[in-house]
Amino acid sequence: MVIRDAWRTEAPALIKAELEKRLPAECKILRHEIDSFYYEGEEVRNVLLFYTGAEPYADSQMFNEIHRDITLMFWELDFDPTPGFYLKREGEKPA
Amino acid sequence: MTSANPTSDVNAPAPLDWQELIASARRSLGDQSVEESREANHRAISTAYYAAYDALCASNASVLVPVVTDLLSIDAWVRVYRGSSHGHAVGNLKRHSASLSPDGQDFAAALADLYQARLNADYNPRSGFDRQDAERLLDRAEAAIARFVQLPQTERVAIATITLLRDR
Repeated sequence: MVIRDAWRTEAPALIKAELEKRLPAECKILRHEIDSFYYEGEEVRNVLLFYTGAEPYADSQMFNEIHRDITLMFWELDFDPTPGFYLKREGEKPA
Repeated sequence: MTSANPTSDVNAPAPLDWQELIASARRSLGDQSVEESREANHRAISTAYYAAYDALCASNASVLVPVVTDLLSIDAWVRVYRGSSHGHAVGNLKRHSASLSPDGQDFAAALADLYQARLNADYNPRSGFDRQDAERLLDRAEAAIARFVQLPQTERVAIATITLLRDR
């Protein structure tokens, strides 16, 4: 399935679009990086997004609902393995 | 044929309390006045997933072996409790989620997201979860499990078969 093969470009765009639609406008998503690794032979797909401005987790219940809806959207679109995503403030030092 | 042994001299199965698992993870994070610990954040995320997975395993056992009266039924309960594997349970619940109620779907998505977060917390040295991440994921686990354990028995039986058995 094309959409699975293209997850590195399609998943970040879908996540970014959903976050921009539902997070407060003061929270800006600036860029992303792919941060994947393998666990027991399966790729754990991660999209790391960098933001500036308002704190996206300020309303954690709302953020959790957005996170759930993005996961369900990926399932409907047959992304397999399902990409996950994490947000980090731009300029924060890496782990 | 011999009858099963009574339970008077054996311990009935007692799964961990998911609410106490969540509470213990929150305690491990400390309050805002305590200096943040990356290690505590990662352990809390791992525990958030484990609380959801353990609640699933306990539910599977309780709905498939509802009456535990003797050694045979205790063994059956424990066999079901231990019968699932993480990857299969999360993946198959995902594949069958469209047939579940909204709360069932929410639990399936939460379990998958928590599993991924747990893999990152435990095995990805590039990941760096902060206290907000940990608290948010504990909230997610708590809300999803609370609704999951309230699902009708029929749906929890369906979830048990989905998460335990292979599709043919």
